[in-house]
Amino acid sequence: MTYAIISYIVCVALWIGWAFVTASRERKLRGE
Amino acid sequence: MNATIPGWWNGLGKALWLAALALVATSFWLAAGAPIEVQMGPVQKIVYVHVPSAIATLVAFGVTFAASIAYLATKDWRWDGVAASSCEVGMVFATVVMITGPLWARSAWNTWWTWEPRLTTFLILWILYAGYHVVRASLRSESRRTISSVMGIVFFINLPIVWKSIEWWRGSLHPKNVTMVPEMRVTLLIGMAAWMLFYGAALLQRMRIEWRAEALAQSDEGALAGSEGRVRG
Repeated sequence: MTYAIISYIVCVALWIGWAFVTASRERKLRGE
Repeated sequence: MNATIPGWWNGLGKALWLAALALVATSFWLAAGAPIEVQMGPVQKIVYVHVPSAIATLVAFGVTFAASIAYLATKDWRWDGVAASSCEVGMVFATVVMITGPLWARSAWNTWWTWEPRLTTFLILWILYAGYHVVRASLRSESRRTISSVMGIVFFINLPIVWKSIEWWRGSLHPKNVTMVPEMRVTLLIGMAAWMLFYGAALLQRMRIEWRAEALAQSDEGALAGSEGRVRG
């Protein structure tokens, strides 16, 4: 069960991380 | 070519994000309530995120392949943008697969990693497309888009190898056929639909960076041409 929970947490964390990086790159390109 | 993000792009992006996040949440909820597999126990629930992510990886790199061909045929920067964006989103999906796989393998096969055909070919796939980003990021010349497109086409060769690896080589631990009870199958199908929608939303979101970068490059070129004109005048 622990491995299953870790899998879901890692999956969500990776996508949240990607979303932050993507939003930050776009803000930088907009000159903010 | 004008590099302004069209209005419909923003609307479609928001709608896709809403639908994708709602469906992903639903798939997590269904996964929590899905029947527990008799042999593997609760760890089998990793399948509902591992398999859809693997399928989304192959679709994303397939889109990179198609968009790379389209770029070489048309030289329209937007196709290169789609290829690079899809490749980046695909890399995140591939990383999810590379992390959830060993977690599942530890329980199912009693090992974190084994050099069986599917794992080995998928690792090669991950390394190849990571290389795509490294090479692309290191290029600043005019040939950047062309070289990226060639990589997007050449690396695609590995996709059918990953797909067919369990049939082509012996010793695969991945099953060729899986039998599931209807509740499990429905949960898996909803998970696949959810992560495909998520892929679409993430692709549109990532493509915004390409629009912005191109707009910036065009404005820089315009400013440079203007200043050269003033110097000549």
